[in-house]
Amino acid sequence: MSQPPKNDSDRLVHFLQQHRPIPPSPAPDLEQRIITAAVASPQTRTLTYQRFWLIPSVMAASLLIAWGSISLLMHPIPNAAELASLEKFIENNWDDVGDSSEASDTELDEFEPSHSSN
Amino acid sequence: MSVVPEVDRLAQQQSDSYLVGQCLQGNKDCFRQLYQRYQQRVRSTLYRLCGSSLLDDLVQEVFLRVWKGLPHLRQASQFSTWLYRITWNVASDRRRQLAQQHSQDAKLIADAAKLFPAPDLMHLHYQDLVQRGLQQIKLEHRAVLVLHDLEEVPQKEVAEILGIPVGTVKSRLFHARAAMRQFLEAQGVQL
Repeated sequence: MSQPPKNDSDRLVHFLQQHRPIPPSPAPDLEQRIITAAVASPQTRTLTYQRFWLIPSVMAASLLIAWGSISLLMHPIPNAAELASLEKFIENNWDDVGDSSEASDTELDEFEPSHSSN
Repeated sequence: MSVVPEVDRLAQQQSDSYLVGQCLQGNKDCFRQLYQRYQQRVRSTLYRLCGSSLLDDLVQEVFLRVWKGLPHLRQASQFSTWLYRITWNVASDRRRQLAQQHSQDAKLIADAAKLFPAPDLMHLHYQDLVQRGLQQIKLEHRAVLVLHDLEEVPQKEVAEILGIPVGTVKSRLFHARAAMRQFLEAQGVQL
């Protein structure tokens, strides 16, 4: 025996279930009518077409992998020896720039108007 | 020794997945099994959603859509959920066509209800009241009430069938019950 409903909702649901509307009986030939109509209707098979959705996915994945590979190849990580060489090169260049800067200052002094007028 | 009854008995015990697989190979006997297994549920749901008008035609429409759409069914184990969804779609498609019919049916049922004065017919009278109450609820709310409270489908599955979030199912259920309670109490039912 079912337990008595506890609250308003339970009482309502209990009432609805106790008095479920019963549909009228089907026509005697309904089952056969449905089976006959179904068998006469072709089933729409789309499995073959569904596989075409794989193509864009595969293409996108391939492009992603290719892009990733190229990115890795275009930006090689230098080793310690290369870094040391690079550092030395920058230092030398910096020194050269400093030297040429001093030289330029001297050269400019020679062309100052005060020197040229006297 | 007859083989056919044995086959029938085995088919009776087959899972939905097996029957769906056989249907996909054109086995009409297995489709008949599926029909016999589910026709009562489909019929009851359609009746509660749409009333008695064109009920046989609606049931036929559901099962024809099932037959044609079986190749689209991705998970045969969820056949019943899919079937309910088709049932709901058929009910929705006929909503406008049946809208006027509903009011006529309601009047007929109201007239018929007056013919049930005997106490032993109270059950039939209440059945009619429930059916009339259902027809007065908004279809979206009615669907939730029918599936959850009458067909006893879990809320999560109702959400899948109707394609709405579980929170919306709860909300619609609340409103549907409130509307149904209001209708029944207005008809003199003490809950």
